[in-house]
Amino acid sequence: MGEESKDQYGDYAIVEVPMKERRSSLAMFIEWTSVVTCVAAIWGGGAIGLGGDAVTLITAVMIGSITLAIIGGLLGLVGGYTRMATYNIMRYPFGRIGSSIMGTICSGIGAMAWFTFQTWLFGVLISSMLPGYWFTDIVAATIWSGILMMLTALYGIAAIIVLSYLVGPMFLLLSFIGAIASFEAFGGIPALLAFKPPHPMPIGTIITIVVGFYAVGSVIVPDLSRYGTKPRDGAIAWATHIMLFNTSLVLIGAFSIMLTGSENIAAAMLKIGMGASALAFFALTQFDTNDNNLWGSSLAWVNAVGGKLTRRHWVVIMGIVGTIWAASVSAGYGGSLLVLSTFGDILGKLIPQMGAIMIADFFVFRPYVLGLKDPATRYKFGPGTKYSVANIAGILSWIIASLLSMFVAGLLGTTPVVMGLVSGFLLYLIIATACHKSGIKYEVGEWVERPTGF
Amino acid sequence: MSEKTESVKGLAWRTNAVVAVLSIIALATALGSTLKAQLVLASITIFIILTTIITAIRVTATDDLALRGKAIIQGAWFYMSFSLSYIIMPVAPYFGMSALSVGINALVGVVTLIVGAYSLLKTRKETGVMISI
Repeated sequence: MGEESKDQYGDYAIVEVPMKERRSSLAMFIEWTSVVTCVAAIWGGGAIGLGGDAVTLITAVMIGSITLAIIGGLLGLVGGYTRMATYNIMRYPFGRIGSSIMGTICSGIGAMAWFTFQTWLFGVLISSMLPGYWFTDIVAATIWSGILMMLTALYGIAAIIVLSYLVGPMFLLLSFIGAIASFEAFGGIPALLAFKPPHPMPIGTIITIVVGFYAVGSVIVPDLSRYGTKPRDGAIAWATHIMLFNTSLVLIGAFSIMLTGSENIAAAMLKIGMGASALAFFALTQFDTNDNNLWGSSLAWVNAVGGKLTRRHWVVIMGIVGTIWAASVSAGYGGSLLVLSTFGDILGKLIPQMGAIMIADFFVFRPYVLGLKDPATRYKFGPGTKYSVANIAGILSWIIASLLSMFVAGLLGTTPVVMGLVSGFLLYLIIATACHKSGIKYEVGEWVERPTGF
Repeated sequence: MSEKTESVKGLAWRTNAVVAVLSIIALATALGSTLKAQLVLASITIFIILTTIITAIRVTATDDLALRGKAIIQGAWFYMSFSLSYIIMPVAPYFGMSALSVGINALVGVVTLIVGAYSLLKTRKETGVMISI
């Protein structure tokens, strides 16, 4: 570490989070809980609800959640030790330019795409709640909600956490009360156990969808965990919220579609008289999740582009692009859940291996092959720090793992997510270790960090 | 410093006691109402009272100004969030509550929000702890 970096881009996008800005594990827990308590989590459950019986779904959702808890928990530790955002951490396993490319795929575009789809979901929700007005038309609602959702992301992490504190606990309470009421009204546990799925899916596909829906979220855990008071705070907060709330909310969504036959839990709640006001608060939590997507996207773009464009500029740029995209989806696809499940499936095949490679580099390659035992000093950042331009081992591992995940996993009878995770982890260790032991240069070029952190 | 620590403790006790009383008033509106209304109001009240108890324990357990501030702020956020339920839930026809009960609950929700906002701002001023802690 050399001299102290200047936070030129805002929210410590590419510099270390200072002590005075560190937050409690409860703040991180509540922020992630608010992220997962979005309609997408419940509708995500809706997307798998017709694909299996209750026992199969519970099993698949548990396995998916455990996978997410492990990936995000380990990456949360990396963020806690380094105090840096995900895309800065990627500078080591993928190289400086590699981190720009991976960060852009994972979050610059990935999280922005999530922003797009949740803005679209918001439009669907509003149009189903208040039909018949020009401003509640699905396209119009998508546009104005997209603009509103930019506001907290524009202000930054403090506003995002404040909003999470305000709506997170309430939304959890409402979700569980709403779910119990709906289930009771539509036949309860006997009807659930008697349910025969009309379109059965292999359990592997269901796991892939569950992991895929939150794949970007689990890989970008360091964005928030770097704010933790202690290094482990973020990891604990992440794993706890996944096991408690991701599991239960996805299952609520799945059970709702099984019992009510509606792919829209909001409509089911309306049907039993839960009131439009409850749905309005569903919408507020959608805001709470989506500002986080846009915020993550802006951090990735700062790492990739630098220059004069700050985090706030990127929030506006990505917000406008995402809103226009969402409006076009609204016009073309209407309220179909197919768009959402297809999107989750694609993410599930491309992104988890990025996390696996980062975990392999930080927790295995550097301590046990390079001998860097102290996790707090395993990665160094700050002005003057030298990175490779490209880490060939990391990039090659990701490409091969992605190809295996997309084209070979099915042939071997495994899931794309598991294939991506396992192959990414092993390939990186094999390629990097073999290159290191045989003296082959796998880190190409040199990039010196500037005073701004770029 | 000690005087300030004690005054922050007093603030915590006062605001949390007010919030606990308000939530009991809200629960009282469920008397004579439907079982569904009783259950939902009892759930909200239990969560709010638990929050106030936990906050009181955390505030009493330390003499550190910053830790007290953190406990008060986190507790305030939780009861403010739960109090939103008083505004949005009773109005739903599903719970079958009378207009008077709905009105009282909404009022309790609004007053709790005001008490919470006061507690947040006052605690931030007295302790220097950020409200997004």
